[in-house]
Amino acid sequence: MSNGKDTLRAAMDRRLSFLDSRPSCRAALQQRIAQEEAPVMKKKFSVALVFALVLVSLSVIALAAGILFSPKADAVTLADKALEAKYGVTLKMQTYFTRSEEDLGDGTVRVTYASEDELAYVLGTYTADVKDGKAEVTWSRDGADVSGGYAADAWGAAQLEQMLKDNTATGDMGLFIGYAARAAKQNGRPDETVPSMTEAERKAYFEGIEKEKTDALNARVLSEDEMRAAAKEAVTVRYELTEAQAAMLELFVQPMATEENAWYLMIDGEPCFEVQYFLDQNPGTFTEKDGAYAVAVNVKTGVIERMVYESGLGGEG
Amino acid sequence: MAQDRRREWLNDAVTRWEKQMLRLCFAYLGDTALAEDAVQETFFKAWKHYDSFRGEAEEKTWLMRIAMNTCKDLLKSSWARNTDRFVTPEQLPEGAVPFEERDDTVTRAVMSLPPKLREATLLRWYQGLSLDEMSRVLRLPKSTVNYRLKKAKTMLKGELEEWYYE
Repeated sequence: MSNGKDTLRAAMDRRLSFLDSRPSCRAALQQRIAQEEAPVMKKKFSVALVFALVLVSLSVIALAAGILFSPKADAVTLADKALEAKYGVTLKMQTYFTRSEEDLGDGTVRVTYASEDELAYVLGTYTADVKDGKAEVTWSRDGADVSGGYAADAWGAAQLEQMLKDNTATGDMGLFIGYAARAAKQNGRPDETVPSMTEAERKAYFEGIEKEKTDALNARVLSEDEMRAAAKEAVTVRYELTEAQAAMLELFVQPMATEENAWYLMIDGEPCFEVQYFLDQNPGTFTEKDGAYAVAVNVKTGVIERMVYESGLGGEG
Repeated sequence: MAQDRRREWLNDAVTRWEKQMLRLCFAYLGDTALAEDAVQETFFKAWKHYDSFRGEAEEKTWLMRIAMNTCKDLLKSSWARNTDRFVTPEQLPEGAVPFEERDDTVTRAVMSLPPKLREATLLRWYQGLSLDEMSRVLRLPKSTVNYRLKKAKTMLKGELEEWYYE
């Protein structure tokens, strides 16, 4: 963005010039590094390693027998189908929601589809309780008036369909966000503010994430190639891709040298490796099933712990 | 010796990039304290994984990727999601150098974009990354990056004058 002489960068740099180098940053870094460099005892050969070796054979069996999905991953599939059947909300439309899953402890998995920011009021939250192979879905805006397009008090499948069309045609999110913000304001969106984290909590938060990634990496039994293959098969099966579409799945490979643990994470205490595939059948235009598929594969067992599809049509995706 | 080399690299990197990273993280997170945390965390991670950085990518691109991931990790925390983090325009501190009204307008407009469009805008037009570099930083195909940039432009168009467009 430029007019030759001036640029967005120059404008922002002038406006943000109150932010400058902080000696405290360097000092804090030096302190953390000193702690990190302090000598530590090497770990002894552990019982965990013995278990890991045993699991190698189990994992090979799991992979040979076909793709296994965790109960939560299965629950999500049922919830997705129930959401579409009852409310007409398709996978593509989920681009406007963030999905999460929770084990309620009585055999029920609760799958929640929540929208955020300006769209939270009108789109609401869908909740699917999945138990014994059945999913019951409800909507936080059940009973609200959904007629009248973007002027409606609550937006259902009809508005979501229109949002996708508007996004695709114009790339303009401003139109419906304005309507959504107005409706939220008129109806007094609840204040969700919670107390801020303390410095110690922030530090612990970051360290926790890093530790989880490293723990997941250290727990790895399967090779990354094996897990990528499992992820591809899972995407193909679960999202019912055709052979041609499966063949076009593009693995996202980090082209730069990077942290070894970058793609590792913990999901409910299970160490996982995340694989991302992209499908872009006709570059420049959206074709059914196009989008990003993220699959978390259990690094010890090969079980698919989580799958997320993002059509990318909402721009927030 | 290896430790000394890593420390030396870190010192140089902080000198070269700290200010730029701090502004990038602030523009993304909208909170000075969070931005400082993100920058510190970025350099710490970079130092920790220095051995895996073999110069196959630009140092800046590598650091940007770590910074963006760190910012996203911050936003994922329930505390950050439920807290109104953004400074209002009135709360944005005065600059250390004089600025014009349109500098203020463009900064606020960019900071008001939805997170993913904001991220794309900041990397492309604030940090000057190429589409290839953005694709690496964001782990997205170039088509998706393009799509987001196009959307961001459309959203900014209403608030900014043609002066800012390519």
